[in-house]
Amino acid sequence: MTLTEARPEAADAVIAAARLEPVPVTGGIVGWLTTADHKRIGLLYTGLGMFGIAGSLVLSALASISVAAESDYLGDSLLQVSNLGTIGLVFAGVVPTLLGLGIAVVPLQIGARAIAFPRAAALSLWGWLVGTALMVASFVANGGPGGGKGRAVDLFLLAFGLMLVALLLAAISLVTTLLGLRTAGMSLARTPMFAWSWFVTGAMLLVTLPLLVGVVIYLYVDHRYGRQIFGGNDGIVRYIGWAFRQPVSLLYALPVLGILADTVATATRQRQALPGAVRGGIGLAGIVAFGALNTAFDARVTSRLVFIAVTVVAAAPVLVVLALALRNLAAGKPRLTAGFAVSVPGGLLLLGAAAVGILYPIERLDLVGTPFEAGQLHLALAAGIVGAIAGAAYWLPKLTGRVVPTGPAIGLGLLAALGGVLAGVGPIIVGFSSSSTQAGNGILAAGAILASLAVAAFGLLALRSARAGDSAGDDPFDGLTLEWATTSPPPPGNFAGELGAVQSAQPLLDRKEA
Amino acid sequence: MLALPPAPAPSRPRLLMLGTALASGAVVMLVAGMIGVYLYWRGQDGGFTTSWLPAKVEMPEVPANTMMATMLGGSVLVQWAAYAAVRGDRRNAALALVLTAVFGIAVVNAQAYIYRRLEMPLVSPDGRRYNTLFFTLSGTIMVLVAFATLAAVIGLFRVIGGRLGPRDGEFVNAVALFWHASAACLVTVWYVLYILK
Repeated sequence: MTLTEARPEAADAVIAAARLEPVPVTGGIVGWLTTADHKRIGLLYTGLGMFGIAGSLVLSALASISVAAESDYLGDSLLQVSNLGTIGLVFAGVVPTLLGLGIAVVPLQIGARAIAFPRAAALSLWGWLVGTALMVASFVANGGPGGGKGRAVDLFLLAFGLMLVALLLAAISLVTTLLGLRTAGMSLARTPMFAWSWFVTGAMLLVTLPLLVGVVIYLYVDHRYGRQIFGGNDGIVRYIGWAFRQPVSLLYALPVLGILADTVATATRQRQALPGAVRGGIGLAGIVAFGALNTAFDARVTSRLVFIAVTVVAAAPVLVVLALALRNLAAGKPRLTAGFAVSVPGGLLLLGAAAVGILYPIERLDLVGTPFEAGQLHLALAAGIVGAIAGAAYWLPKLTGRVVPTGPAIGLGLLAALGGVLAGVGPIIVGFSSSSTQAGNGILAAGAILASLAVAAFGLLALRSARAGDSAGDDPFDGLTLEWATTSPPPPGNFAGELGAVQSAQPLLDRKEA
Repeated sequence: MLALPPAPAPSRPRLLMLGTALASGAVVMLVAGMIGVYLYWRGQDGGFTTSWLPAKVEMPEVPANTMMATMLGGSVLVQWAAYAAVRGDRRNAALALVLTAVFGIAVVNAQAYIYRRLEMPLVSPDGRRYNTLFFTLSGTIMVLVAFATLAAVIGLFRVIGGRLGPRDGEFVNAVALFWHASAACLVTVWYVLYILK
């Protein structure tokens, strides 16, 4: 088989042309601040998102320690710190981190010269950052859900709305890229699994987050002018809470499945078995997230057939994707890379989150409205965190041209996974038995600290590697997908030469097998 | 190994239309969610068998109907503009976009008139939920209409500047798509707020 429909020598020329020296880009801080290059936007999103993850986990740990130790060192701020930790972990941490990876990598994977609407993508980055800064400021000024100062609560709602709109803008940019900028021969069914997972996630975010924006608009107007409908400050969490419960929580970590499939295929140098089933699994896992809308304003989920159905169904596609990836792993002789070694626990965490969620609607267990919800969310977000580390370890060599050391990356990824498990198990224990509140919160705090340290350390490791790591070469992992056909780092325009028409989901493997 | 001719250059994708379609879908979801919240509280306060409007408030139906019809008329006009812009007909495209913008302003004006006629405070003095929900939902739609009108004005300047034809006319097509989505939202909200009440 060949990579392209061109003559073999022409295909070689294409690959050779794609390996030309990168064209210099505007350097310095100004170059980064004014960039419309998707790779830089993606790296900024991912880097800042990891900072958000580490910070949010510290806040969650502080709140949990306060409960576990029965200490009131947080005073009246306990609820606010806890809420900022949760909201920050989702919308200032996991979602932007994975989104950044998508913005940086997906155009390369599909052979696009740039992301669609690059200025909109840059606007989304800065809009999200300003929104995050304002949200933190609102909490500092005694705002946020549970806050005591009305104007600061208003500011929180505005900031939260801004963050959501910014993330929506990025999702539009990414999904448009996937729909409109694929290279010749690359149908949606031939996109790499990470790109596909972002297609599903982006599309589902586009139909889910606007509903949250609508609720936030109502909350703002009501809180700002009358506080007659939604219960003032205390009502905010109740009405936006559906976005932090299953199965929507699974949506935030869905790209992990794409990272898992791509990294395992590369490590084993094998084509993905039953790719249609993997794509279908990722798609179904995304679609069921919509079922959470059933619980938007009514917590009586145990009597909702649709909710019960999607909750049970959610675990199945995750299991299918994971099983098929592991089948690839068993069938091949995998080389140890940080990408696959860390993404496997990430996938397992997501499966754990989906599986645990099956218990949620069982009426006899009485888990609705308990910390069990937070535990399930933490497991899903931990999957996202671990997946982000795996994805960063795998693609940073391409984006920066420098290798991320395998051993430390695997160690930190596994540490983050362990922390994620603890952060999930703690609240789940409390959900089952309220008498174990102290122990559960202690476990949560330990897990959050562990995961926070792991993410922060990985961030520093990645930064250090990007500055002074060993040269990665253009294809350090013997990759199968198009991003490995260009230089590391890729030049402006991503590919120096013309790409031919791809004929499968693994065009580089086609060429190597030819 | 295969020896096939080089791949043809991929046709230029209509990115702006794709992006606008996605944005329009998001906007539709936003409005659908807000209508859902409105109906939820409507149901909580006794459903459609009870009085939901505050006492002494009479919904001005004629301006509401006029507003809805104007928005739909704008849909026809903006489609005319898109048709002309793609075919390079500057005069027709410019005229249609001017009229579209005027219709957009007329819709906002009609809503402002309805607000004035209602003489209803944003916050109900007797604790009714209706006031806040009504103003928030209708206000959000007005923001969408204002945005669509602004897009039509930008399209007008582009057309006047000669950005016409199958390629450059895509912007006007995108404006038309967003206008249609906004019109669909407005018609639905009109039915919920002014017909169902």
